[in-house]
Amino acid sequence: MDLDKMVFPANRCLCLLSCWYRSKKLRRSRSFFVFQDMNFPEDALLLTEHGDAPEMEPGKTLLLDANVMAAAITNIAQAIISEFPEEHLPEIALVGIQLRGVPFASRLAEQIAAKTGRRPLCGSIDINMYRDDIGMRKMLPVIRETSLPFDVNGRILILADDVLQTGRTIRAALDALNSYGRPSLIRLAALLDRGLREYPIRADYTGKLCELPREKRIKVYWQELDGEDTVYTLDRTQKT
Amino acid sequence: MEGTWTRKDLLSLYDLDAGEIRLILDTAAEFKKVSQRNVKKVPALRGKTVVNLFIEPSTRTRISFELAEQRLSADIININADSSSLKKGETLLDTVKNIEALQVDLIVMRHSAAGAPNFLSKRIKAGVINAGDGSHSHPTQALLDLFTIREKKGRIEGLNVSIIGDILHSRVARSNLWGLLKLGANVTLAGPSTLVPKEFEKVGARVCHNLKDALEGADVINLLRIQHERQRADFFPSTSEYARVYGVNKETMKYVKPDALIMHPGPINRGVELDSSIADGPQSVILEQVTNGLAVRMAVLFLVAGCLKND
Repeated sequence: MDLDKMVFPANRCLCLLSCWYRSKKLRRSRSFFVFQDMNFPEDALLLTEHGDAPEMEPGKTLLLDANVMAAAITNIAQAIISEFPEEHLPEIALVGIQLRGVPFASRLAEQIAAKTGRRPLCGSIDINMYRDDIGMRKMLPVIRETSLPFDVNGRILILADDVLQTGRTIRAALDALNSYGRPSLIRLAALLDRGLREYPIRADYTGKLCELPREKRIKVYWQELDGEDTVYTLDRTQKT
Repeated sequence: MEGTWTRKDLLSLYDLDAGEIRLILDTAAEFKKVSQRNVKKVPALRGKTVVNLFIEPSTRTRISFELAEQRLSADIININADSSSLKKGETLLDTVKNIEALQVDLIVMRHSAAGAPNFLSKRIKAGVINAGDGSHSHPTQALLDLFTIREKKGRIEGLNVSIIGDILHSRVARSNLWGLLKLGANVTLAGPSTLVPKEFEKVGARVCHNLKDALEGADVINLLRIQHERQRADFFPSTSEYARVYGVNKETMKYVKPDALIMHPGPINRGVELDSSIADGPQSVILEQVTNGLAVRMAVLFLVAGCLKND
């Protein structure tokens, strides 16, 4: 079967395939040959026809590919190294905001290590205990790990998140960090800044600026979590 | 992390599925870290009001809930049976309706009648957390036991857990039974035949009346107090005879695996179901249960509060 010649609405079909693929946790190989070897679920094809698969991500469009992402991360790492004199590098720790800021923080640490020969400390922070919208959301947030395996007091912290939008997450993250001690300095690194700020917060290091309308949602996929490094835009289906 | 939380009440572990139980335990693991920090408080329940309605006496559970609420930044009202209008003949529902009229968000409730929290939860908008109802259910105690077992043993599935003592009157035993079975443990209930009915076999537990059988091969031993306040008849000849036949002491510890956990929900009757040397010994995790109770209650309050709708 030559999949190139098939006449499914290409966008919708690809999106569906990738959903099904992720749900099967077969994230490594995305070659089309694998699809042929495996039994393609009949109901998935049916859903393509009806166009209302429950897992579908409507309007899914590629925004950045792996190369552009890697370049953006490298630029941010370089900017961090440039800002701080070499003797301050040991004081720096990167703190990724759960969930999708955590791989970002560790990528930045890798890049800084590649350039300076010294990998900065890495931690993760979950902000859900510090939210201001408990009871206002449709979905209850899942609390993930907060791990700060270093003394926060007097340290230079670089808060890392994948997408900067309203600034509310960052507000919560600053409150959370405050409970662990008194850092000497906190900087903010965002892979993407999409505008739509609601709080007086801005990033010190930004990978890409992309002004998008409110109806669009940005989702950053990471190799570690999703099996690929890609940024997609999606249609916002519900207020999240 | 699996499971999603959609309940405004926590009434019994019988209602929950394994995913929901694991979600509470995973959430509790993060809340445990909060109590280990310098700043032991998070703003998660800021602006919420919690009423601790304890119609039956309690120290451990009430203090644990109170502290959990404070560490989540909730506002708290405590009501005890002797100081409430229930004494003047007001019905429970009237009391609670009056409390609700003050715009409270959550009610943590202990009552001597089984089903009292279920009754209320269907009639009020506020969330209800069961802190023990008669001999029926004590979900947060079972959750803290599960949390302690999982933390110490790394898993619950496949473990042999023996619960020994007054099973008949114990809400702790019932809640533990549901939780442990749902998470795949093998549960043995042991004690005098008058206090451990064979009927428990129907839900999948092993029932035995011999202490040696219950201790041998067990990975976890959970000992329960004889609940004199709930017993209307004599279920065994004397306390000293119970201690001689079912008490865990230096003598009977020879049947216990060296890595088995000794647990007790408290209060302990030292020298009856459990000897002091064992209660304070290296295999005992009794005080860690208390520590974990705080984390589990913070997790439950957080999850339940998150499902209340703001109007």
